Amino acid sequence: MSTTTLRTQTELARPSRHGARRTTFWIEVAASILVLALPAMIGSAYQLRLLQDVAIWSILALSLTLIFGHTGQISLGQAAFYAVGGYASAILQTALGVPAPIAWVVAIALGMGVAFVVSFPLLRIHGHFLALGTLALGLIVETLLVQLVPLTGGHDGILLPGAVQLGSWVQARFPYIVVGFLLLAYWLVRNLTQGGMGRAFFALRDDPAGAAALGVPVTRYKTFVFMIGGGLAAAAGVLYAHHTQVVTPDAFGFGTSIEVLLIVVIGGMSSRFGAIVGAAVIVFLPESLQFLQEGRNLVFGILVLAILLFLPGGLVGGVRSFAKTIMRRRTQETEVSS
Amino acid sequence: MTTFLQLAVSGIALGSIYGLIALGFLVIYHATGLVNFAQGQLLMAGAMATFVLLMQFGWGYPLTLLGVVVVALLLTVVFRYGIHRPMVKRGAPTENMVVATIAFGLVLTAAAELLIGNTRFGVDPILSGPPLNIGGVSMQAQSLVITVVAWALVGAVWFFFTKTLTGVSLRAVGLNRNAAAVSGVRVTRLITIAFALSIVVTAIGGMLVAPIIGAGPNMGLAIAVKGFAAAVLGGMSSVYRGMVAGLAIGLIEMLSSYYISSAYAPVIAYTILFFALVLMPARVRQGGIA
Repeated sequence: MSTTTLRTQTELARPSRHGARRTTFWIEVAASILVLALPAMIGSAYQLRLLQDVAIWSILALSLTLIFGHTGQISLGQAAFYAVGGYASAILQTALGVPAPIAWVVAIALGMGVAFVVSFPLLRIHGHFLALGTLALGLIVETLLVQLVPLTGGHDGILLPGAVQLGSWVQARFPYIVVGFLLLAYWLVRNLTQGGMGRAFFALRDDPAGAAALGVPVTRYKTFVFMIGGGLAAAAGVLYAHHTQVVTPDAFGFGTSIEVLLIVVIGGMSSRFGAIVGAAVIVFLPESLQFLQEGRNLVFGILVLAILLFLPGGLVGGVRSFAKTIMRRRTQETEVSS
Repeated sequence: MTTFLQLAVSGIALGSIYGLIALGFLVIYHATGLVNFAQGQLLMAGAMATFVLLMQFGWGYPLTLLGVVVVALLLTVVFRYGIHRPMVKRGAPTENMVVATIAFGLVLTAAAELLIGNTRFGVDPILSGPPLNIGGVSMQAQSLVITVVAWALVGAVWFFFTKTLTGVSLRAVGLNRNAAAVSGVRVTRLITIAFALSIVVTAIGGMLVAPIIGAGPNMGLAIAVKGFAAAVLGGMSSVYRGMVAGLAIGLIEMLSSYYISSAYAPVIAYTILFFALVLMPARVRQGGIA
């Protein structure tokens, strides 16, 4: 299928109704404040852990939403940047004794740097082949994590005891940091994809040649998005390392890259809110249905196939079009009755 | 020298399997422009079916082969009519197709884990008995069987594509679908045939490789990536070049794991894939347009 074919499945960049964007903005602000207060409202440690899981997966999914949903560059190696963040932060803190905040910044910068460097070879290829290339990248990083034992600790990974690295005061308030990062990531993605730049992303996704002809710096934008995505994934890795207090290769392998992809598809490919919805689904669904534990991949695989076939906009896109249908029906009814 | 030759024999056998994956992968790619990420899981399905039919039901190899082909055809029906065609009809973009094939592979893996079990199962070789000894080089009979069967399959596929009307029509579909349709070729039916051919070949590859590396739900990815590497290294064009590239990758893998380091052998294959993709001519870089 050529890239110039009209997209019938994914949501197009819609011109929003007058005033709708301002309403959305205030809803987003209110929701952000609510989310920031969530850790204070949740009592049990178990639920707090789930909240952090959702937040970390959401950040990772936001990075893929930006790269995949908005600029159409499919990445099957998002776990590579996630790993760079997690391992860089862990190694800096344990082996070199760097204070946590500096290690975090360095790790995120490193994630962006790696994304910047690999974007040069990778962005020469498109579509299916980009998927293959990023798959290879993810597998290379995964193998290195296992094999570079002196640096990464091999299969055992690196222990990162929270109370030692962060101090007990910060460790107790770590959920706020995770949620804070999620909000930063959300607003970053929001602001990048609104306005002219967001429309340019959709344009270069749907028709790169056409976008270039209209003066969109296609390659520069793609590299930029890839870098930001790498940085977000690295940030998720940093948080994950402190959240679980250990980094092992299993958590940063091909399975993780696929899981992020599933999250993005379930939630809605080019929807920033969908990333969070998808993460919530993938965390809460197996928790609430314990009998699913065995067959969770089966359920998620079938769910994703069903969504691709019947609800290509994901859950968020589905709800959106459903709401639109209802609104339209209601206006029609009032017109008829009057 | 003996060590080298022994390594070379097993490298050629493994490489033939990679070549078969590349072949299955290219048949679908040429007919539809779709890169099928479930190829490795389809190989896994072939290997697991072999395990169940041969070891659990005790069917013996001839019947098992028949069973594996039937399983492959069933999977073809599910994949082609349950996923591929509906998505094409709905005009799904490339990325959605990629995700769909990945999800299909995930479902296959999870189903195999649930139904059969999540371990590596041993499978009896086709020819049992002590290792053969030819000129001081001892080799497993299975390696020879793999190589012979794989190349026989390639020969058969070559015959199909060049000497039969269906095969030639299928090539026409790959070159220009509309022109083929105008000339009276039944495009949808031929695409289904391409899917069936690809999946049957891949499943038989799984059947061949099962006695050497065992059958397990998660065996697919590692082999598939090398098969993809072979296809890309062969230029994504001809099936035979893909086969030769598969041999090269198999040889490099065996030799490097012995002479350099077994730990880094997979990295070499992944790196080959990465650089082959990036440095390939424009055809690959365009992507998705067949």
